[in-house]
Amino acid sequence: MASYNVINTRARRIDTPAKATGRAKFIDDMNRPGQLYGVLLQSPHAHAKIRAIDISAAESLAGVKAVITARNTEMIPYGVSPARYDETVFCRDRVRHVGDTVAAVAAVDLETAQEALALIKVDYEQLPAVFSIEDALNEDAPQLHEKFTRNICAEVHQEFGNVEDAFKQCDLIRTDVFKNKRQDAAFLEPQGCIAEFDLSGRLTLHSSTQVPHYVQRTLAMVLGMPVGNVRVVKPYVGGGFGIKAAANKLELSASILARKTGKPVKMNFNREQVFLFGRARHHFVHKMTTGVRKDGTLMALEHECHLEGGAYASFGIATVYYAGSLLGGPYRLPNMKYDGYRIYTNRPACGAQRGHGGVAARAAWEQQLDQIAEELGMDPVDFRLKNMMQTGDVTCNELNMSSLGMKECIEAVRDGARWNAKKGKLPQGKGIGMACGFFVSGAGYPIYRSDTYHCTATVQLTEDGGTVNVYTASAEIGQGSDTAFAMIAAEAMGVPLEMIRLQSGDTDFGVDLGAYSSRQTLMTGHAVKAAAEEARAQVLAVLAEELKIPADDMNIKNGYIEFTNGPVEFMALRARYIKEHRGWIDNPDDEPLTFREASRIAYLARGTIVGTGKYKPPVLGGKFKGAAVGTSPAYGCSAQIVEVSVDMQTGHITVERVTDAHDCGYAINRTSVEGQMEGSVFMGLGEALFEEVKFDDHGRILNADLAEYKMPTALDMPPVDTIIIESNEPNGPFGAKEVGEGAIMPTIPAVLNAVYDAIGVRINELPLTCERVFFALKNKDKK
Amino acid sequence: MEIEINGFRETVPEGATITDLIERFEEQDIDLIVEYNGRFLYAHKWPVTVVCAHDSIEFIHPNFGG
Repeated sequence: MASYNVINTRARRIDTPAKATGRAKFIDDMNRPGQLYGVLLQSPHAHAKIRAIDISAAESLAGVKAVITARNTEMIPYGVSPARYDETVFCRDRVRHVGDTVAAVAAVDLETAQEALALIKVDYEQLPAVFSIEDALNEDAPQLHEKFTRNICAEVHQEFGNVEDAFKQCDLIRTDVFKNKRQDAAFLEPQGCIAEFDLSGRLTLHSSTQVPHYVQRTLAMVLGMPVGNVRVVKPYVGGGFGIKAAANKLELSASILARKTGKPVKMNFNREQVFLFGRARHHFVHKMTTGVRKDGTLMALEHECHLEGGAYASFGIATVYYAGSLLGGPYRLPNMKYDGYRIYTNRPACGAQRGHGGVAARAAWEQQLDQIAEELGMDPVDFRLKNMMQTGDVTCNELNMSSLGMKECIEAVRDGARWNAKKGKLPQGKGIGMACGFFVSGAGYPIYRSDTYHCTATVQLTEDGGTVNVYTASAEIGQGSDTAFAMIAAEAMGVPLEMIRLQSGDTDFGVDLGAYSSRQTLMTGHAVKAAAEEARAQVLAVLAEELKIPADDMNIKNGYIEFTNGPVEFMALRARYIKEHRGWIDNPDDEPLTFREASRIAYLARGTIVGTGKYKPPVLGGKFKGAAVGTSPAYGCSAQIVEVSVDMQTGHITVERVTDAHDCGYAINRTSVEGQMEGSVFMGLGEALFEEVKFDDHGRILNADLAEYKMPTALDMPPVDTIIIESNEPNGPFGAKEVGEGAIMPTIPAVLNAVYDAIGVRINELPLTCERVFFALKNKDKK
Repeated sequence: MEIEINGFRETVPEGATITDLIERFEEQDIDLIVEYNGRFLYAHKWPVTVVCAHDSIEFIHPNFGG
């Protein structure tokens, strides 16, 4: 491995001072002169016709500046995938879930806007509604969208190899059904935005988003504007986890209201509205049949999955696809058949959440693999190691494991948790379990059909040579991406991190598809690295001309110019530099030639030095020539061991310790990698133990707040031993790949397997509440 | 003959199959979803499904992240 000065260290995040001092501006901290406040009118019914809307009283209220509905504003259909543009900003004739959007009001203050909402009269005719997969699939069920019979929003059917033939060669075949529950991502900062038109008719939207680029495109389409006349700026963001990865009703409503009133319009969701908008984890039902030989060789998986998706498609096509495809690895599985169905229901739409599509599937299969290992009389770790893929392997569905430190991850947690000393040796009520998982480092395609670069970046050197400006439209949402890109730029340029000034999250800075699919470190990282290298090459080219030596004989390292073939006389350059700075007290003296001097000399020769970079996944040259790279350019992977105590009287689970190893290719910022690993464990524990969005019989959410939506607190968080594994990904910048989502994959099944080890009963439904564990214990006692 | 592909009107030869169109429009991908007149079309039916005028086809690459 090459030696580096900046990356692979524990850098302090560049946003730490602003956040620690309270200077960081989130959307709710921002205001514009003369701004109006916007609010949404949302449906109280799960399914109803809109017979009439009377907005006259609301419009007459003093202080109200605009009331908009689908009946006085043009509605352009939009969505995530162009194949499923099934939403409009406001419902015209029908609402499809409690919280569906009917109207918006802009007024001089929030109180007036809320008062106006109460004056809007909507005449609804309630319709039969469907809330479950089974009900929605009935032949005579009410149809949410006419085009999609039996409420099947999307389906995927794939077979790789020949599962039927493979099962004939198996010694053991078992089938299990597993369910998770619908979730909320429970980020700290609810969605919010401020929309403002300038006097030239250009729109600027500040928004708490993960994807400024996609919001820009959707705004342009829905408002009928050129993309170049729409600018989206992302301020500091308090988390997203996938839910903020597409345009939302606020962004579109505020922009329409701003255009109508000529005033800036600010809108926010309250916490209940965050739940009503949804777009978080689906409710999945997995049925898996896995066959193995008696020596433990995995032979085939037959997998059927149904997803309860809510009223609109959102990311659903991708969700149902990933629920199947991400079981292609990390084990050598030669035969896999998948039938997936995403179903519309009269509930808020589900979407993408950390570990998109793969988390529940991984939990189901990793638990089943443990059961198979037990039936074969094999240790679960040995069973996994036997079947584990290695670097260079390709899955049956053509996921290319260009680097894969999965074996190293398993061995690290096995040894770190002292598995061999504990497994099978713990008393009743104590348990230990392990699981594995992996995830993509970005997707092969953008959401809309395009040959677009997935990201661009610009590096510009200041005229004094002292600062390297980096501009990227990527989205820092709390995960530390700005710091990672600053580190990559510093390393590629050859300067200390302190010389980097990075700005991001603004569509004026270029194209970046945003923070989702664990894509930014690899993809934006490539673009930033390329931009810095291009600027660096220009500086060295000018130096080569000035010093009359080849550029290849020089290097830039840690802010200084290195001459690789011995000392070079550069005092004439230094004298020229110093004479431009009479009176300055920090001019170079007897130190080596500095980057600042070289960069200034380059500016004097060529003007502003600018480097640009870009990235999109490469194309395949094999079976599907011309197609995108495949599911992803690279895959991060994890293994975890969870240790639990279970109260055999109450069913209460305490997670005592987690040992977590993740292969991130090569760590850019080691502290951030560990932060992502710990955050993933936290979210996984929430899904495993507590989290469920609950509804009444009318489709109303019962726990749409952070008091009743149970999730872990700091007090529930166990010690987590994080182990970074580095496999050096050939397709990643400096060898880096993802950590943000692969690290959540093993958590839930490791908990499931540990709980089984503790109590001797398998539970196939999440979350593992005290009640569910208690009744599982009671049923076991009855048997 | 005119049909609709991914929301746009396209002219294709008479007798073209879905497999022909995948090749013609460079949609090849191991994960490709084909929706034919609003319904999922299994891969084994691609070579034998001959499109007719005014048919609607969606070629979907589901690997778009999230």
